[in-house]
Parts: sequence; C-alpha cells; structure tokens
Amino acid sequence: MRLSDTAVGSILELKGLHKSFGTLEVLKGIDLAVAQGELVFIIGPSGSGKSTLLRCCNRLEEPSGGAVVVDGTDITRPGVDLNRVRQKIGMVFQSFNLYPHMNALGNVTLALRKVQRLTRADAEAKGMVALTRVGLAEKAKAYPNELSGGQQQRVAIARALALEPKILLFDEPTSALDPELVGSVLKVMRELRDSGMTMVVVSHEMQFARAAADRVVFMDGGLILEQGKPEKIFSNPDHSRVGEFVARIASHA
Amino acid sequence: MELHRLVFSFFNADVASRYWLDIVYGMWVTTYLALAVVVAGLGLGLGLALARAFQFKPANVLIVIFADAFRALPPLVVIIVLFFAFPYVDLAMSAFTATWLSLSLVLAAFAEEIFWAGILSVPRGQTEAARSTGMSRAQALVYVVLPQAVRLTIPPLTNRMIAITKNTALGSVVAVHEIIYHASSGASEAGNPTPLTLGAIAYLILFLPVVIFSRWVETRFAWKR
Repeated sequence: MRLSDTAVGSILELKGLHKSFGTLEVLKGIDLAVAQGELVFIIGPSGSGKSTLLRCCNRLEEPSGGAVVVDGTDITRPGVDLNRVRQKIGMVFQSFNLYPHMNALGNVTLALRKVQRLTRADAEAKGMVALTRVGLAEKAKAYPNELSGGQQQRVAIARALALEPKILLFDEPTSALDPELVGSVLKVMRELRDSGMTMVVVSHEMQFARAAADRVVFMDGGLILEQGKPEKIFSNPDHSRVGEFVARIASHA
Repeated sequence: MELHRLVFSFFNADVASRYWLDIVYGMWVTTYLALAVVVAGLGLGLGLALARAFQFKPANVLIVIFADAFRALPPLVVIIVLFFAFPYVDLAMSAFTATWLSLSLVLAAFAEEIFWAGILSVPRGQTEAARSTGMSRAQALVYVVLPQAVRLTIPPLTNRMIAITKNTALGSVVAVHEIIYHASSGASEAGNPTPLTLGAIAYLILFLPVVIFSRWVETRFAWKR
C-alpha cells in the first residue's frame, strides 16, 4: 500500500487490519482513520476486539494482516524501527502499569533518559511539565503505592505525554478506578482533548463520550458495525445492536 | 555425667593451642572460595536467566537442561568428577578450581531458576508499559523488570548462598585446605576431636554474620505495593 493513499491529516490509519490468536479471529478487517486532533471513542461488547485493536496500533499485539499507518509510516512494514515509532504513540493502560520501584517523576522520565537519551536534568524538567499538566507536580517524589488509583493513572498519562506523542491510546483508563476517582482522570483527558491531542479511547464512560468524543465507533465481532457522531450513535443508531448495547450500559451507569 | 571427659575430648586447651592457627588459615581459604563461588554462581545464574528472557528456544532448552541437571546432582559428585575424571580428557585442574567450579555451577543452576521465577513474577503489564514508551526488550528487562524481580529473589537467594558456601566443606574430600580439611586432619593427628570444635566455631564466626545480614536484607527489601 502506498503512502499517498493515506488520507490527508490522519495521524493513525488502519487498513484491513486482521488479528488472529491461533484459530480465533479477533479482528476481521478494520478500516479506521483518525484525524489530527480527533478524539475517537471505541465502544462495544466485551470480546468484540476493542483492546486488541488498540494494542495492534503500537504492535504490542502483532497484526496478522493489514496495515497500521502512524503519521505517514506503515509500522507493520519489515525494518521499521518500532522503538522509535512507539515514542510517537502514547499508551495508557487499564491497570496503570506504573513502575513500583520508581517515584512518579522516575516513572515519567525513564524513557526520556534511556530512550531519548536526555540528561537527568533535562528529563526531569520535561517530566515536571508533564506532571504539571496532569495536576500532580507536587506528587513528583511519591511512589505509586502512595498514590490513589486516579493519581496513578494520571502519572501514567504523564509518562506517555512526556514523550510528546502524536497520538494517545487509552485502554479502558477508568475501569480499574473507584467511581469517585474517575472524574479526575476524565478531567485530564478532557483537557488533553482541548489542547488538540489526538486520542483513541476504549471505554465504557458513555457520558464522557457523549460530551467529549468527535466520533464513536461501535465494534462487534471483530468488525466496525457502525460509527458516527456521538449524538447519532447514542440517540439514533442505524443498527439495533448498537441501541441495545447503549441502553444496557446506560442502565448500569 | 563425665563432664571432664567431654571437656578433654572436645574443648581441650592444649590441642586447641596447637591447631587454632591451621583453622584460621582454613577460614581464609573457606572465605575466598565462598566469595569466588558466590560471584561466579550468581553472575552466571543471572546471565542465564536474562538469556532465557529472550525466549530463543534452542538456548532455553540448553539452559533448562543445565539448571535441572545441576540442581539434581549432589555437589560432591560434581567435584569428584571434575577433579578425578576430567584429567583423563586432558582437563586437569587443581582441587581448589574443581571445587570452585563445581559449587559455582550448582549455585548458578539454582540462581538461574530463582532469577527466572522472579522475572516471571513481574506482571506482563510492566514490560508492555516500558515497551510502549519505546524501550527495547533489553532496556525493559534491565530498568523495569529486573529491579522488581531481584527484590523478590533476595530471600531465596541468600538462603541458597548460605547453603552453597557451607558446601565449600566438600572441598576437603579433594584436599582443598579449607576449615574442615584442617579440622579433620588435625583431629586425626592429635587423636582428639577438639580441632572439629574449633572448626565449628570458625563456621559460626564466618556464617552467623551472613545469616544475620540476610535477615536484615529481607526486611530492608520487604516490598509494599
């Protein structure tokens, strides 16, 4: 596939993305383009392939077929410098995955020092900027076990932000949080969106999706069943499966 | 009770005054043999565990065979094979080298398994988080996984280190001049087991601090998540 096929302005483009685990086909041909500054929300029943889709975008899972184009580079091509590409693609995990043996600043600066080879002073200056953006500058010296879940997730966001990525991927960022801590994380995500960060979010936070998403993608059985503006997907979807799913989630919220 | 006979046999001041210098010399040999075994054994064990983390199948099979074989073999047998059998294939080595190598290989086998278990116990999300920031597999291993794995391995490793360094006594079989060699040859020469008592005291002097240190290390590295 030639790069000139890529839509102008898209930061991330998936073309015919397939992923199988053994005989189990989890992704059955996904086409999705995410434009600069766009916030795309991915919803769908569990097992529909949302997380796998996200994890294929930085090749934490190896795609079985198709292309993943990030900022003009097909990262599934052989010979691609994956470690270089991944710095452009920040990822935030459901379980935070902070390094427990390092304080917040250490977590945020590790890749700056070891991957980008910044001096400790430069890395820490950048790290403090990132921690300030998530409202945790005063917690720089705190270890993960001294932080609440919400604070840990915000440090994890800062860790991704510090590398100045072109796009941020969120894999159920609030699912492991106590309900009263969800708001602080969503607030940071909202601010990121307002600052123009391109984001792809897998989440069940429908209210947030309704308020902040540019586009909602509904996945079912390894395919995109429907996508559109949040008001369309949540209020007037073309497919009854989508309406049923939205109603079911809303009744639990 | 015949306390005076017990004292005469095991705490004989006259015999002790004749043999204590030999025992002190043995302590020196035991100490540097033990240190050499710990350095080589832990180094090799860690290296093998790291190599195993790269999941290259043929290498892993060899590592597992090595670890299982040397965990199963009695260290004494390994020493005897290296010292008495290897000269026939033109690989003669000194008694000290044979003992050092044998114990190092045995410690490496155990240490590899302990380090490997530690590496496996670190949640996969840690590696994924590190890799997602652009760190290479080796960087993720060294900066993220290993520091967490090592903490978990310290209690079993210190126990294993104490066990294997006490096995330096097996060197006496091939006449390495460590504590037990001097204690038992002194005992037979004097016709009195007091040198063995001195040997026991020497082990206490050497190993009690190590045992106490290991306790301290365990509390120091106790892990709160």
